[in-house]
Amino acid sequence: MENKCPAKFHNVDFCAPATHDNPYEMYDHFLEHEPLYFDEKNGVWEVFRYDDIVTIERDTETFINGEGARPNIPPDPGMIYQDGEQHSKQRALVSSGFTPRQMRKMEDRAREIVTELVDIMLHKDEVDIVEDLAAALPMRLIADMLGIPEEKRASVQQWINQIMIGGCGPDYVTDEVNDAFENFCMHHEEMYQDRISAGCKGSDLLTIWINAELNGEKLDESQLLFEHVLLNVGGAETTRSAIAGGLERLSEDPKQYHALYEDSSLIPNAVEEIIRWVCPFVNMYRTATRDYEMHGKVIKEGQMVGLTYPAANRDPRKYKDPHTFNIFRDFSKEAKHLSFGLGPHFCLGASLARLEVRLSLEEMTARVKSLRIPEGKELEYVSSSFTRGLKKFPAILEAR
Amino acid sequence: MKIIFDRDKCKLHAQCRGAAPELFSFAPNGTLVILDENPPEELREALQDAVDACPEQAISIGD
Repeated sequence: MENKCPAKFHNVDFCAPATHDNPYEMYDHFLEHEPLYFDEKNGVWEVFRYDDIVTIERDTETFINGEGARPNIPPDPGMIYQDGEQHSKQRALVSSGFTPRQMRKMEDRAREIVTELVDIMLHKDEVDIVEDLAAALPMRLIADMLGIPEEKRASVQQWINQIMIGGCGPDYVTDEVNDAFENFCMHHEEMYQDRISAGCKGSDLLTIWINAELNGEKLDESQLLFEHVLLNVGGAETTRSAIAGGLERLSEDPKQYHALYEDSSLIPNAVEEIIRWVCPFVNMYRTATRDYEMHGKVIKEGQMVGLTYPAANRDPRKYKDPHTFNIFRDFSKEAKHLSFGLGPHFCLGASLARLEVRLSLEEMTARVKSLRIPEGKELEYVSSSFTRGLKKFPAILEAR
Repeated sequence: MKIIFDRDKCKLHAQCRGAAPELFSFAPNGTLVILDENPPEELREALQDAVDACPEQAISIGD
């Protein structure tokens, strides 16, 4: 008889970064045999199946964000930790900077950046797709949106990388993480004061947020700070993972890469497949407001449940050959991926992320014939239980 | 201009909310709320974005 519970999937610590290195064999195990799993070490539940995540994300009375979105990390005043009406109000204020209308206005600037980055890469013998394109594009775009001075940009990126490491859990909040957060707070305060003394007349995102008003309510100073953090955390590293991860898949699959060059109208669907396949966020957590039964087990009131998005994106109940990267995948017949979540907390930056991945693919396929990893070099990945992705992607580009 | 919204189709993906926060919001119980059923003409582009964004095709524009 088949052993349904291999020992290697006992006592899994879902907060440990290494747990999510090459995790798909483990996710497959849980998808099939233990769709609701209690992580003893962290005292939290985990779900994996597509429909279970949808059920939980939709039931916003039973599963809330107000108690935190990651185990043992207290909520802050940012919108991600709000529920119900407060969340709606706050999100309405923050989203004033993120509508598709604003994103369309961003497209020209984003294309300019991508074109320049690809120009530079084509002049190099060897590039790092992560540093030279995937990280640089979102970082520059966000810095432009916020109006961050050129000389501060590298430091901001470093602080954000540290803050992301802290997102794995309290065991990972080191002195470096705390220092980075403190530095980011000072940087925010400086930017905030600059805008106040300039009379809040600019068109940068921070000014839009300072000025945003709904029924007489505005974002207060602490909310501004945490939305600012969230923009960087949510926008920079995740998009970087999607662009780099997508190009890595395509570099391994010249046929699909060539198909995008032949017919660029395939690119928007390829963007969705990349975001499904890479799924930069490992999970988000919700807290049960009442005892809730699922798969014959009970999530007790006050307990947290983790929504393992990359597992759901490979749920064979929804996707045909879920582990196959297929730019032709028919999402309308299968299911929309859950990489951006769904429901009230659906990723605010989704249209920005899609725009950045699309422009990267358009520019790369149009100008680069092929990309390959140089001999003796290897891909390197970020190990994390929060957001995963490539850290280094050395490549040799062949121009068209 | 009028927002025609089919509540039975709505699966709370919140895409409309991202596209047109001036027009769509959420009640505390998680259901979708339309903030202005007869929005002014200058919000037509925003409403069209919301129509396009809805995976369930639950929103349409009535003139």
